[in-house]
Amino acid sequence: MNVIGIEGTAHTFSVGIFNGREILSLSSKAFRPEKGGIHPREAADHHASVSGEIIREAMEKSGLNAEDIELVAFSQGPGLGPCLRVAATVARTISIYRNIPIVGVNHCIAHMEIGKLLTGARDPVMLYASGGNTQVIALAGGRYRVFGETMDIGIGNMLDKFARESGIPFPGGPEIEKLALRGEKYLPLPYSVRGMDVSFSGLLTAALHLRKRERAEDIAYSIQETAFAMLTEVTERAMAHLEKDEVLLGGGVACNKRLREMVKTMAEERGAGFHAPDCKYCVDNGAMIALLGHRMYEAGCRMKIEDTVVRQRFRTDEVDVIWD
Amino acid sequence: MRLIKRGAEAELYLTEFLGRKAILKRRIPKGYRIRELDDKIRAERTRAEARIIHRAKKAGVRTPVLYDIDIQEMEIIMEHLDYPRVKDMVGRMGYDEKRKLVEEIGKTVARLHSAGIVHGDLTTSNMLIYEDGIALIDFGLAEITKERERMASDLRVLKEGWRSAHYEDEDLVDIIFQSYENAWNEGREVLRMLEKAEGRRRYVKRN
Repeated sequence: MNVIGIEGTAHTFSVGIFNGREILSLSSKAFRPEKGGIHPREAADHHASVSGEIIREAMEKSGLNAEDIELVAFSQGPGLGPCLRVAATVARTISIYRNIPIVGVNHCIAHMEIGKLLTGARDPVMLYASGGNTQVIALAGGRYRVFGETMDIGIGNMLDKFARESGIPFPGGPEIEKLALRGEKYLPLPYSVRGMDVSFSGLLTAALHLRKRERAEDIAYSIQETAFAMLTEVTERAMAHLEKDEVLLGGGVACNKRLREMVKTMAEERGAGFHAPDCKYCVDNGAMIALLGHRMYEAGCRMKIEDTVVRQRFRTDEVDVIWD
Repeated sequence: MRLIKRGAEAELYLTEFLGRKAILKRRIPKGYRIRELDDKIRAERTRAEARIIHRAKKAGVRTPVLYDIDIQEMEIIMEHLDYPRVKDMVGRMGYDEKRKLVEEIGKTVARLHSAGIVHGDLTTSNMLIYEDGIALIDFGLAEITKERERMASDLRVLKEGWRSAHYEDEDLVDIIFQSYENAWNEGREVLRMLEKAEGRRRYVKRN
């Protein structure tokens, strides 16, 4: 079954085509503000204006014709309302126009499922680290449950915000990673772990204060070392608590080489398996939406157009995992 | 000395101390953390843990008796509590028994909080069932504080951990909290803070 997946929860509009076994194509375009952060409405306008072009590109790359597509899946939430509504509208249009079924999926679970497909991980604890989302997720009792999460801002938001205040354009994470490579001195920052939860706002404030007297490279290095150690620690704690022996990375921040290295070291020290998909499948992408839509449809999930209203606060643990 | 458990941050060994069965807890270096951060965290937590275990015991909470502490080696030696974990027992209990158990959990946590201690990792792996109630272990993330917000986040860890590990008995969380509230006159206030904090989380249903 050929499935088209439409992703648009945040700053990326992306379309992926999945044939039930493998990913045939993926095309994405990310909204880049000229200055400052992401304004939801501006990002939504961006998605609306590029949607036609991205769908066409993904279709061409897949080698399929429009009539070959049998199912449309879209990211129903969580995310920014205006962006979600554009993706949902695009998906509904395809569904009605081509007269094919539609399935709305949970974005966070899509990250998990594509990670499993691409890496062969079977029952991992996933560290899902992106701009808005920072969660430690694992399957328990037929649902993906959130064992740990951020109590304030997402890890990526923290990095982006530090970058923005320091005059580094969006997205700031990759630039901080480069700066950190030239860091020489570790500057102590608040290390805030409570059980399996983390928080980053205190760290951000402290890091911003350091800018007056310390080198940007050293601050970037210290931010990464502290924040990523916190994430690695809570991931390990979840693994120990759940007695699971695989870890999977997902989300845009999982592209960061230092974070990958830290989680990999942790896994090795525990004798656990380490899995991380390619960066292009860690960031938001339509392929994971197509994949999860396919899994759900095959397991019997059906939606009417009325059921496709977007869900900004769609929690990971609300979905029954009927396909596993 | 026999390794009995490799946790997320420490190794536990069964050993002897002056002829008594004892647990040696050693905080192992974490290769993923840079040395200076790792040393600092391990030393801080070892020291805090020893201090807090002692304080909890004085407040009437059953904890392991502290025998020795070695900051150089990041080691604590303490009494071996040979009791079953709540985590392993809940699933095997009848409803009345479970109800009694969770009421005991609420009372124990209230006693701890009223002494100005938050545990930091109140999962059911860290609660043991002994003759007279619930014993608490692993104070590795504990802190001494009077802040109710910290106590609320302690309860949040308890609630989320319980709901994840014991999803079949999800509703018992309410009984834990009810008993917590009844056992301590400031309990209601802490629970109110918990509600407030949960409203700040991501993707929470709002009415």
